[in-house]
Parts: sequence; C-alpha cells; structure tokens
Amino acid sequence: MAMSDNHPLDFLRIADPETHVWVAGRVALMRPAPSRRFLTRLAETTVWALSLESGLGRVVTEGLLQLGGQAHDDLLDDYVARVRRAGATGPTLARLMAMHLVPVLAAGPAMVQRFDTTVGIMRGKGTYTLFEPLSVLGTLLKAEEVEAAGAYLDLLATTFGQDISYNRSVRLVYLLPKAVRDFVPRRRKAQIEQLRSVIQTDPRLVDPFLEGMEKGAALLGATDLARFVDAGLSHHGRSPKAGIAFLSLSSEEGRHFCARLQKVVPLSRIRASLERYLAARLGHRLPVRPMSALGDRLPEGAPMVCSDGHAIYLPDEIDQGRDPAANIALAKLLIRLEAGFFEWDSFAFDLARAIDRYPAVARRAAAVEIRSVDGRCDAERFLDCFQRPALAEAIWLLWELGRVVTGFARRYPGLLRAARPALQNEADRLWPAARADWWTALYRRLILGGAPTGGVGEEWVADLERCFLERMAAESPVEAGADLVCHVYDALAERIGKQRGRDRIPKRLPLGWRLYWPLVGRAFAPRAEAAERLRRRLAEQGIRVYRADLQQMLVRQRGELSSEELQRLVLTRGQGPVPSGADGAHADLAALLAAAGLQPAAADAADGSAFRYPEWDHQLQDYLRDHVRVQPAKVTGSTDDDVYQSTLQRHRGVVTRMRRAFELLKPEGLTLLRQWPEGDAFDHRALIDFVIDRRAGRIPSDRLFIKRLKQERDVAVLLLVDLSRSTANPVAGGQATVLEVAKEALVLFCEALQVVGDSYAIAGFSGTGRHSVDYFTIKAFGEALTPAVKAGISGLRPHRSTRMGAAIRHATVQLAPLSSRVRLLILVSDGFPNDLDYKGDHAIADTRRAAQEARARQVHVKAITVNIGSDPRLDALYGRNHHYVIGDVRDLPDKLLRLYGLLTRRS
Amino acid sequence: MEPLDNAPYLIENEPYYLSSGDEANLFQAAWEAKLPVMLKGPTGCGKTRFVQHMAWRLGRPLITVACHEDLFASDLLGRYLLMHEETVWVDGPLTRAARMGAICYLDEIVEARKDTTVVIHPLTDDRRMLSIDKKGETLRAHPDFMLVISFNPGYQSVLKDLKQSTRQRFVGLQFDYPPAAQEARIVAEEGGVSVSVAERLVTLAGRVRNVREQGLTEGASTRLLIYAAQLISRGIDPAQACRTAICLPLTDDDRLQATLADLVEDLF
Ligand SMILES: Nc1ncnc2c1ncn2[C@@H]1O[C@H](COP(=O)(O)OP(=O)(O)OP(=O)(O)O)[C@@H](O)[C@H]1O
Ligand SMILES: [Mg+2]
Repeated sequence: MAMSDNHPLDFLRIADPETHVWVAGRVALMRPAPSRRFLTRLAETTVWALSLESGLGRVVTEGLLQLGGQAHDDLLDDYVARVRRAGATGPTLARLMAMHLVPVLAAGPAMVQRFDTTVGIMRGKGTYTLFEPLSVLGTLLKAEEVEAAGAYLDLLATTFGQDISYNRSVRLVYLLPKAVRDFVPRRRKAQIEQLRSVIQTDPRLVDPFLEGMEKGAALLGATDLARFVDAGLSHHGRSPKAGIAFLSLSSEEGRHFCARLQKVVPLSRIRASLERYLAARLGHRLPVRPMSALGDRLPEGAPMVCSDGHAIYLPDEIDQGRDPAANIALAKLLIRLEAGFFEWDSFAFDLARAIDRYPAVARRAAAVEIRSVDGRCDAERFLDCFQRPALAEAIWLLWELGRVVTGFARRYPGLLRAARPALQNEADRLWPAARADWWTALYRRLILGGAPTGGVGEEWVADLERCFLERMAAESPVEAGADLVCHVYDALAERIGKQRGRDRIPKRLPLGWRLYWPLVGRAFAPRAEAAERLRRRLAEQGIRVYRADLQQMLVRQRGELSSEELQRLVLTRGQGPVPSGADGAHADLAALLAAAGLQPAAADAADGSAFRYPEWDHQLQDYLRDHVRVQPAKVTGSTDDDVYQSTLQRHRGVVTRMRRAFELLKPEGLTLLRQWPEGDAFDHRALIDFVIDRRAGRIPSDRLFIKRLKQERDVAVLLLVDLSRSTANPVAGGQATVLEVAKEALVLFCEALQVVGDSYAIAGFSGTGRHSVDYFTIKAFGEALTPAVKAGISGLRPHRSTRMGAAIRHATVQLAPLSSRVRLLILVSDGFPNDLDYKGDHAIADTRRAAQEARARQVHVKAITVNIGSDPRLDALYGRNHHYVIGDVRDLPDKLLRLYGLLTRRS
Repeated sequence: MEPLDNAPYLIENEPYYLSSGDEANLFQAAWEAKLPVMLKGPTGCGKTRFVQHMAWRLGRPLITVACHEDLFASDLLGRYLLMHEETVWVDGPLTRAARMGAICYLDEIVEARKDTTVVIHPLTDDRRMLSIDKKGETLRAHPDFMLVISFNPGYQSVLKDLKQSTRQRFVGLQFDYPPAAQEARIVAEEGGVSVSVAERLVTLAGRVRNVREQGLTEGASTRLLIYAAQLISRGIDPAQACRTAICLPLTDDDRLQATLADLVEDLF
C-alpha cells in the first residue's frame, strides 16, 4: 500500500473511524511530535489489534504511546513483535503483554530475559496466573525499583516452577502480589528474597511467613531478616510444626528471636504518644505525620524532621538508632526540638508586623508587595528583599534556632541537656573541624553553646554572636530575628563575598533540625486568601490584625472562626480601636466573617414534621424556637450481624474478662445496713446503746443487727454515637476507621449490659443543616438484643455533620420518661459539633445548653471524645467534669466498659 | 451549763494562705450573715487550708470531720458511752461545734451516706437548730457557729451527687488551682524550694493539666507539687522527686506515665 502522501493515521481512519478520533486526539498531545515511522507503526498495529479484539486496540495504542513518539525502532519492533506473538496464542495474552511490556522493555535486556523466563513458567500453569502478578510488576518498575522487580520475577519463577496444586496456585497468585505490594520500598527487595527462600523450602510456609511479617518480622533489616528466616527454616527441617510456629511468630522462641533483632520503629506505633506529649506541652493539638504524606513537598535531603506550621513530619520508620529504645528516644528528641518552633511561634512570622515594629525591616522591605497572596509565606517574601536571599536565609536560620534554644535554656533545661550532646555529635560528624566556616562556627556557639574555637573569621564571628546576645531579649518575637538579619546583612555579604558554598545553609544539619519556609508557604496558602480577605475587611473598620495571626487561628480551628475568637484575637494581638460596645462588636464581627465567606449563611426553611427542638443562641441569650428538625431514621443496608459476631470473636479475651467484672457490678455489690431489726451479725454500736438504754431504764431499741443487702441496680443508659463523616477517618496506626472501632465498642457494650441487666438503648446521629438531623435508633429501651439490632450495628455508616445539641435533646426525650433511679446519656464523638450554620462558639454553647437541660431533667450526660488529643475547648463543650478523652480510639471498646463501670458503681 | 473549752480547737498561728480572689471577703460576709458555705473545687487546691485560715482570721475554733461511707448520724451528733458502770453522753463533732460556736467543716460531704446528710438540714436553714433525738434535746446553734462543707464534683460515679435539697442550703465558693505565679509562690513557701524550682513545678503541672485523657482526668494538684518540692528541698533529684510525688500518684496508665515522664525530663 502506498500511503506516503497521506497522513499515516489515515489507514486507521478507514479501518475504524471511532478509534481514529481517539488516537488522533492522543497523538496531537504528544510532545515532542512523533515521527512519521512511529505513526505508521501505530496505525498498523492498532488496526491489527482491533481485528483481534475490539478492546485490544486502545491497550496497544496506550503501550505505544508510552514508549514514546521518539522511541528507537528496535524497541518499537520488539514491542510490536512480542504483542503480535502473544496474539497468536489469544487476545488475553496479547492484552497482558501490551499492557505490561513497556516498563520491562525500558528496563533493559537483563530484565527482559528474566521476564521471558518467568512468564514462560507461569504460562505453564495457566494464563490466569499472570494478571495480578504482572500488574504489581508494572508498579515496581514504574517506581524505578528495578532490583526489587528483578527479585520479584525470580520469586514468581521459583514459585510457579514448583509442582503445586491448582488450589494452591490460585491462592499464591493472589497472595504474593499483595504481599509484595505491601512491603515497604526500602526493604522490599530483601523481603522478596526471603519470601523466595521460604517458598523454595515449602510453598506451605508462605502463610506462616507472611503472618510473621505482619506481626513484626517486616521491621527487620535485610541481614537480620535473613538470619530470622534461616533460623526458621532450620527449625522447619527438624520439625515442620516448630518451623511454622517460629516463622509466624506464634512461638515464644520466634518472638524472642525477632524482638532481639528488631530495631526499626514504625511511626504509626508511637504517633499517639508523641501527639499526647505535644498536646500537653503546647496546650493545643498538633498532629504528627509520616514524611511520606508530604509527597513531592518533601524538602531536599530527606531530613529527619520538618514541619509546615500545621503538623510535624517524621520518617515513616525510625531506624537510625541501635535498637527500638534508641529509635523511640530519637523520635521523641526530634519532636521535642521541633515543638520549639511552635512554642515560640516561628510560623507566626508576619512581615507587616515586622515592618511596623522594626524600622530596619521597613526600609529593607519598602518595595515588597506584602499584601499579595501568591502561595508563598511572609518569610519567603522577606528573604526576597535581599540581593542574596540564600545568604539572608542562612543567617536568619541561625538567629531563629538561637532564639528557640534560648527559650529552651530558660524553660526546659532538661530538654536542652538531652538535645545538645545529640546535636553536638552530629555536628562533629558532619562538619570536621578542618572544614569549619563562619556558619558552622556560629552554629556551634549559638545552638550548641560551645566556646569559641579557633578557625575561620574568629573576630567577626564573635561579633555576630555578640550582636545576637545584645539584641535578642528574652521572649523576643520571631520578627526580632528578621530585624537582626537586616542589621548584619550588608556587612556579612561584603565579608563573605562570592565564596561558593559559604553563602547558604549547609546541605545537612545536625538532626536535620531547621525551618523550611517553602513548606510553610505551601501549607498556609489555602488559608492565606481567606485570612487576607478578613484582614482587609477588619482594616476597613479600623481594626488592625496581622494576617499571620488570622492564618494560624484558621488552621487551628480547621478553617472556622467565630466572632468571639476573632474578638479575642483583636483584643490580644491587634492594634487600634476595637469597635465600640461589646454587643455591637459581636454583630459587626459576625457580619464581617459572613462577608469574608467564613461563616456560611443560614439554610432556608423547609417542611415541618418529625420532631422540632429549640436551639440556644448565645448571642441572643435566648432560644430559637422550633429551630431544628430531628427525623427518626432507619439503619439500612445490612441484614446480618457479621460485625457483631466477628467482634465477639476478636475480643474473646476482653469479653470473658468483662463478663466477670460486670457480674460483680450486677447486684451492685452489697450494701451494709446498720441498726437493722434482723440480720447476719450484731451491730456492736447498737449493742452498746442497748445496754445503756436498759441501764437507764429506757426501752432499748431492738435494731441490733447488721444486714448485708443486695440492692437492685436501677440504671437506664442511652449510648449516643456520632455518625459524622469524620468517623470514616482511619485510626492512627491501624487500618480500621473510627466508626469501625466504635462499632466494636457498641458490641462489647451490649454484651456487658446484657450481663448487668441495666436497661439500655443505642442510637446514632448525623445530619445536614437544621432541617434534617437524622436520629438512628439501633436499639430502643425495652427492645431485646435481637438479630435485627445486631445487624443495625453492622450497618452503621458515616453520614454527614454533627448537630449535637438537637441529638442530645432528642435522646433526653427518650430517657426522661423512664422511671429508673439513674438515667444516663453517654455520647461518643470524634470531635466538635459542626453543621451548617452550627460552628464554633455557637455550636459549643448550644451543645452545652442541651446537656444542662438534660441534667435539669435528672438525666446525667457524659461524653467521650475519641481520636483527637485533649483540647481545652472540650471543657467548654461538655463541662469540665463531664467528659473523657480517649486519644487512641483503639482503646475505646475496653475503656468504654471501664468508664461505664466507674460511672455506675456504688462506692 | 459549764462553758465549753474551745481551746483545743483554736488555731494559734496564722495558717499560710495566699488568696487569689475575693474568697476571704465572701466567706467573712457569709459568716456574718450566718449562712452555711459550700467549697467546690478539685482535690488539693487549698480548700482545707482556706478554712483553717478563715477560722484563724475570725478567731473561731475549727472542728473538721472527714466524711466517709460509714459515717452515721450518731457519729456527727454524739452518743451515750459506758464509763465506770455509768452511761455518759458524749457530743459528736457537729453538736460540739454548734454548742461552742465553732466552724464545723465537713470534708468531702458526698462520701457520707445520704441519710447522714439529712441531719444537717435543720442546722442550715434559718432555724439553725440541731435535734438530738437520742438525748431528747433540741439545740439552738451558737450565734458564731458556721457550717462549711467541701464538695469535689469530680469524675465520680453519677450515683454520688449531692441532692438538690442539700445543695440549695449553701452558698458556694468555687476554688481552682491558683494562677501560675501564685501557685509558684505557694509551692516555694510550703515546699521550701526556690521560686525558680517552684515555677518549674508549676509549669509541669500546667503541662500535666493539658493531658486530660481518660485515666488522667484530675490534673496535678497544688498538694502534689508541694510534696515534690518538699522532696527536692531534702536533696532528692528533682526529676526523681517529680516522678515519685507527681507522676506515680496521678495515674496507673503506663502510656500516660510515659508522657508524664517526658514532660518531667524536659523541665529538669
Ligand atoms: N492558696 C493557698 N495558699 C496556701 N497554701 C495553699 C493554697 N492552695 C493550696 N495550698 C497548699 O496545698 C495543700 C493542699 O491544700 P488543701 O489540703 O487545702 O486541699 P483541699 O482543696 O482541701 O484538697 P482535698 O479536696 O483533697 O481535701 C495545702 O496543704 C497547702 O500547703
Ligand atoms: Mg481538704
């Protein structure tokens, strides 16, 4: 066919116009533009593929496009030939090859050869064995884990080269790719190799091995894992049972062996405790996140710790230390150091404030557009005022670290005593004395508290230090450092000249402890615009507030601000007049917030039915009548009680223990009645009275006994569970979600209450706006624990938001008519109330009000908050003595029961 | 009747008390108006010390009763005892206080049995009477008599609460841990340590009070800080003193203990 004067794709247009449109579209986007030869190949191969199976056309096109319009002819030929050869066997294999060959070919001939061998072996077992395994291979190659990919191919070859039954092979086809995908990248290759030697010994060892990996062997380094597997296999040689127990870490010996070798500490294991420490130290919640969550924002040089002003990031696994204890200590140290930036407000740097306060900064920043919002933070904007921003940043970092260390020295001598030797060691390692420069010399003085050492620029480095000591007073704000930068910059720039590498922060710092402004800028960017809008509006009213303060507040309140909080900010940090009259100020600020888009407008009224409740408006100091509509709802979507049963299974231990504990509660122990007319023993005090009365000629009382009485418990409790969207969040350090754990807690709660015999009910709530608060009754008072109730627990799903006040009011209505002596409402939630036009102080005030109303009706209201650190605002929400925080939700099932026991015990 | 000897109950030396509000004036006004007073607040924040101080200031004897589950009405009112073949009536602390015009302080009133609590009712309204059935006596309280109860509405069983009919007979004074600067002065004074060490202890307490998880619902009390200070002033290593006097008593939860230990380490 002669097509030279036509467009190469015309061939395809004639064969299949529809596919042509699609392919032409993709081709048009290719940069650089593809060669004519490539297009010809593309058209021919696609047409061939379409002839084989309609879906195959696109797959082949994709593959060729991935190879690229400039791909070498050999590569193109190879790809096409292989796909065509596979097509001779059938479209399924052709599709697999078309899909997965590209990264293999790109990896080079060695990989291709291994690939061919493995695929050949696997095809012997059936094409079905290729699907999952090849897709994981693609993932590895795309992540450029070439070595791991090679090891993986060998693993597959070994496995399927063995004589295994169909059933086992089906299982392995599922198990192996999944296991390999779940291994962590840095140890993946070593782990694959060990998996291979296990399979080589006996394919039946795969399950025990993977179980052991999950339980902790996955944390072993390469050589240690090899030692562990060797030991396991030699056990296996002597007794298969012992080998299985060892590898699966079910035997004491296996566990010990593994524990002795293990040194890696995954962040997920210590995160809760780190966050608890931070909440205690800072008085507000600060999340700790894995570095991997930073994605492409990860600063250069993969530091050990960094923060963006919202969270502190640590490596996903901490493995620098000798053993787990050393790694935990290291993680703690990093967190304690990094918390200094938060405690002394490094991230609250505001250029406008610096300009207002320090004339030197004002002169320097005269030309900067400080109001713009461009995804950078003020610190970056400030640094851009200098001809050599890197130099300014270098000196500023020293001032800032020095400022924080000064704070440590004053407030936390213990912390500094622990941190200095670690920083010092690292400094000595990173900066040998011979390579000292002005920056490291100054670092040693300001941060390590070292005596001046001989070396570079002795004199003027000492001058810089003096300058710091003179100008940085106790409690100087972050802006003071910026001022100091302006003072020394010119002299410094001249002194250093153009010495390469000396005019910037060294690549690696002790423990990687420093500030990364670009990270901060990007993290605050989403809030910056809202903050700037609000700042402008406030400025129009003559109220000056700094944007950085607004931004920080927005971050801490997760994007919501109430007029009260704003007013507090204006009063404490702002400048200039506050609008006259407290009430007026509130109204004005509320309007401002609404105008700045930070408080959504009220929803419009809708139909009326269901239940209506008032809501407390603390600005009006009055109720809004019939403001909220609560609709009873059904839990749908589940008819079996699988969650119920599996929870009982999993918590068998707790269930038994709990049953025993609640047996004791059951008759509520014994009450001792003194001076009783009949009973088990004499009451000695009454006996003395008896004698005395007789002597005095009075008629003695015959109430001479002590009686132990079983008293009936008379408790009714309603467990009310928050079903807002956030309960779909995963639990730190586990795969389960908050709601899943809550469900387990519900199950155990039911079991316990069945034992004690208290009357109980269970309900969930959620909603969208004041016109539709859903109230799901899972079990009503008096209803038996039927399969339907159990299925209801299984079927609970996260819904929308949290209008707590209304839910509490509706629950109170269920409890109040009961005649029980004690009526108790326990609310389980994972945060603060939050709904349309139900935020911040308003929501808190209404919730608290609802609880007070309940208490006035003799219903005790207690709340449990899970999955967030303690937050002082919880006191405002529920009342100081009426709530409990359980930082790690996984404790909820156990702790809920304990709490219930405590709350209803008699003595 | 022979005059009662109130000497054993008089407080000679001024008990050290650092006021952080208007509580002393309020208390005095209540005393003058013959109103009973309820002190609310967490454990170890200075309620008992305050009453001692006020008793000294008003020059009144002070009789303290620590309430417990087994406290009977007769334990408060009094009873007959056998003495040398004779029966003798012995006043209980409440009766004694009402007679001599003392301040009677019922500590942790919720711990007492409900039926015991009722005997104070006639004393706490405008009758100011105490009826002692056993003896057949109705006692009118001395004009200087005052009843003070303490109540820690803490994290306790919902079954343990004061009845409204009892609550509503008292005027309330709210206590809390003093503000940092004052708490430091108290700790320095009572614990015999320098102000800077005391400040550090108070910082620690502030941090500990930030951890309000289940298992650590009561923050570190001023009392515990003073204990730690007293150990430190006797030469115990500060970190050790904090662990012994503050961390260990506070909670049995290992994980919370670990956090507390970290906070201590930062400070000393
Ligand atoms: N304002 C204060 N002035 C002086 N000392 C104080 C003050 N507050 C607390 N203290 C010290 O704290 C210690 C504990 O206080 P106190 O015994 O009065 O507590 P409490 O509130 O009665 O506690 P509890 O409820 O456990 O009985 C006192 O011994 C005293 O040393
Ligand atoms: Mg006391």
